[in-house]
Amino acid sequence: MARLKLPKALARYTNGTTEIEVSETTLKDTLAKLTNDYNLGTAILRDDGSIQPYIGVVVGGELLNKAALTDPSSIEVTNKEIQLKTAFAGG
Amino acid sequence: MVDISAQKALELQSEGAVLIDIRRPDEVADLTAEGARIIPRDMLEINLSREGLPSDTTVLLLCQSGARSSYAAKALRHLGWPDTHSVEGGFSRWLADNRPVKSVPFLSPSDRERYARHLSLPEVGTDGQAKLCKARIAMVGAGGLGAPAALYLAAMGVGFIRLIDDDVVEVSNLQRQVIHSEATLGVEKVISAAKRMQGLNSGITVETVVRRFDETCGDLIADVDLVINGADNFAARYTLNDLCLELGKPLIDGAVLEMEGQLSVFCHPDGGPCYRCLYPETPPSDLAPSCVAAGVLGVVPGTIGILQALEAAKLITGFGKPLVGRLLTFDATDSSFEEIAFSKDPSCVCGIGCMQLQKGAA
Repeated sequence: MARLKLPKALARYTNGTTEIEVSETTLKDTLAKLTNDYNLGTAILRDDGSIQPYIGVVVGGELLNKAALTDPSSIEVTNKEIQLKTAFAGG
Repeated sequence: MVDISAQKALELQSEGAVLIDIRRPDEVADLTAEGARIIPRDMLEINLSREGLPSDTTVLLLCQSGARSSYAAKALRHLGWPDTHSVEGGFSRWLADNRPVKSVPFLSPSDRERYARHLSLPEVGTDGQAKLCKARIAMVGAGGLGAPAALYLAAMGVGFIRLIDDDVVEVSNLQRQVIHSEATLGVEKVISAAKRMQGLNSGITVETVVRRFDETCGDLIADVDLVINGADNFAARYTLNDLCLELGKPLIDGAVLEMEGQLSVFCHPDGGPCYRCLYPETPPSDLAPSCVAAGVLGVVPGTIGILQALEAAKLITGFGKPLVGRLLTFDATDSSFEEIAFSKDPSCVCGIGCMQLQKGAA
């Protein structure tokens, strides 16, 4: 199992839920299931399945850079915490 | 032997002994022994304990005449530093015998009184306070983040602060922008803030610029040591990041929304990541609404803004570990802080920017 933490900005799509337990073992499958379960459309994933560039993905406390995210199917997430981050600009 | 000669002290110092000038700040004025650290007598034990000075360290104490240091040496011996000595004759004889001395950054007597709590801290001290007093900072935004940051920067004595904002104070600002007041409603925020800052500390210079920050504002950050970002829109954030990258200025960035805040230091000249490494693209508006649309709890920008002032203090004085390559996030709902590590993205434009900077320096 992995724990997925969502930014509050996505909570409107998940009925207010910001933490979800997932049984998928890779990042790609985890995000695909999230998108399907909560009808997220292209909020996180593009039509081609790649991760939207404005979504920061943190696995095990470390932000993954663009190169690491080119193949999300290779990123193991079992027993890890995954966080999705979006920027905000309030000052 | 507790008391030793200045000549013996110099020999021990060359072998690694720690020389400490324990005189009061007003006695030290602007001169101390070469290589000496300055820790006033009444802070000696607590400071050495706090920094964890090893018990096998040879400690040499210097006061004005040698009396206080002799008593202090005996006390330190009992408290766990058995190889502690007092320099006979104190600094008076040290100076009369033409022993090596060094200048201490000048702080006026009134500054010494104002910043006394900083001078007592080993992390700041006289050197650190002098750096703060000479520092130059630009702040973009005099709103939720800028308000607390500006107040603390002024209070800590940052010598020059340039405030940049084009808004005026509105009543809906007062729930969080504590630098403003009902009396300054309708006044430009930078003017309102500057008045309050000068009221808190008349010894600093506050420059006000009524202007919306954009790509033409490079001149406003070119002559400062660092920049604090309290802007309320993505355009200003990316522009400021790019200008700081180009000019080699550390950028202390904060952002808030609803119950959350985040903070990091970008564009550090030592090669830290930039804002674009963390957020390559702006999210769509439904995923990143403004505070006007979504709201913000008043104390959230207060918390993040104060932490921005803290990062400024660290960068200026050199103590601690600044938030370079670390994103600190704050969730007010459970009062939790979390840290996310991130590094320079090889595909980010900042790699090119750094190369340009290096070429320029060469």
